[in-house]
Amino acid sequence: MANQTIFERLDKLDRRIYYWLIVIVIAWPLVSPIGLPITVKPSTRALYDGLTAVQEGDVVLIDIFMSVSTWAECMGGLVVETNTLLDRGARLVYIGDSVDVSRSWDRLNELVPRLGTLEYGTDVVFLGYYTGQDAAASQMAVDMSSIFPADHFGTPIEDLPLMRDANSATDYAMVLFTAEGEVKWIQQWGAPYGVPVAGMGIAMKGSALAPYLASGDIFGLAVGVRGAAELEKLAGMPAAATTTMDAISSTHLLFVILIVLANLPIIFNKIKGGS
Amino acid sequence: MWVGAVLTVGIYSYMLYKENPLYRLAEHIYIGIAFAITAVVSVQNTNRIAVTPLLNGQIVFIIPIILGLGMYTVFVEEYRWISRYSIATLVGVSLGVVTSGTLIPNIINQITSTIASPSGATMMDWFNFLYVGIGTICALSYFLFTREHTGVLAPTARLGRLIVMIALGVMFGNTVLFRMSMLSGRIEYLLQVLRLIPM
Repeated sequence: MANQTIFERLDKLDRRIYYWLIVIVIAWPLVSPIGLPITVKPSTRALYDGLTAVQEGDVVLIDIFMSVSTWAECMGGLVVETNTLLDRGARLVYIGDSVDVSRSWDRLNELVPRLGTLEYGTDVVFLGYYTGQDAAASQMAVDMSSIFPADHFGTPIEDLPLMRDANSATDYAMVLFTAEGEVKWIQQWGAPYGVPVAGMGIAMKGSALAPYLASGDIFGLAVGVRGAAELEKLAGMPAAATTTMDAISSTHLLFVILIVLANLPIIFNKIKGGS
Repeated sequence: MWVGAVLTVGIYSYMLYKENPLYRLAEHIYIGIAFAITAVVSVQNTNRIAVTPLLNGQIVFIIPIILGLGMYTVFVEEYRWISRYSIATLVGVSLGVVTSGTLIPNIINQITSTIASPSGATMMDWFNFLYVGIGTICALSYFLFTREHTGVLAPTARLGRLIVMIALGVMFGNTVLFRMSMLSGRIEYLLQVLRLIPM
């Protein structure tokens, strides 16, 4: 025991200590923000530029494919998208492929009070939950009313003035995906009908979405909390995502330190010529 | 909000402390509510897009309802053959829809963007172009199993393996980022309940 190196002691350390360390490192910057600088990636700037290019009266379809668990990653970006599009005078149609999409809609209304001041049915519509992935997207491109005979609140779609102008893919200025579900929009709206597709992806989807960005199948992309923080910076409305980035950056710095510490014994052993 | 906070602490207590009754309670509540919400939303959705139009006179919606009910016959061995028609229809429609949409964005555009040189580009754009091009060829050569990885194929396969490992590392890093983001969301919620940060 007395001859144990520090690395051996660290190796035998109760894992719960590391977990508590992660919790503390995340919580501290949330309580006392550090204010680390955020640089904006070209893909996020392209997304924002696309949002600001929308003309008054354009109809934008926003797919809220996020559940409550991904609010931390994507809700901030969705708020910025909504505010920016409302500033441009766009008309918004929200749908969602997640069973708790109504909860996300409620939360969006709490964070964007302006949505409540709009004329529902004319300026904004929430159609609610849908399922069917590519088949649903393909059918929506031809006839939205076949997938949504009524909106989330039970109003028949023919009674919504906005939906009379926005019943097929070619009626929409763009489709914005949130968190996931981008492939169906690219395959069923972007490729056949030329509808511009962009949006926010969860961090896990960053690598998977990069090829679509490179090929031009999506015109802009914000990934994860960082993407949301970048959008907040571009829009000049720093909020939860910006604060969370301090916590994320601190945590990742901790991970880097722990990974280096974990690999040092192996490297030292190799230098000494051991196994 | 306090209920949510207690259940959140309960879930994390397994990791931060040890397995305990509060963790078990929170876990069971979560699974129960998740299934309940899924079931209710699915029934509501089916009612909205199929049952209500059928009851309003659109007879054609009887077809998807029968196919959907046919899926449940998989649980009864004697009538399991009925479910094959439903599954076949589902697979056929999905295959047709996906195949028609996948050709341009997933194959043609990807090949085009890989082989087309960047225009008006910076050094970084050219580096990315070469990295992606060489990486694609080498990674494909690594997965070439009809020929032994010797001769000219040896270094390319080795490099391809390295590039695949780098890509998997990037994906793992993104996954870690995603998980930490979810954790930060929960911790932020707890801090808001404790009024240490504003709502």
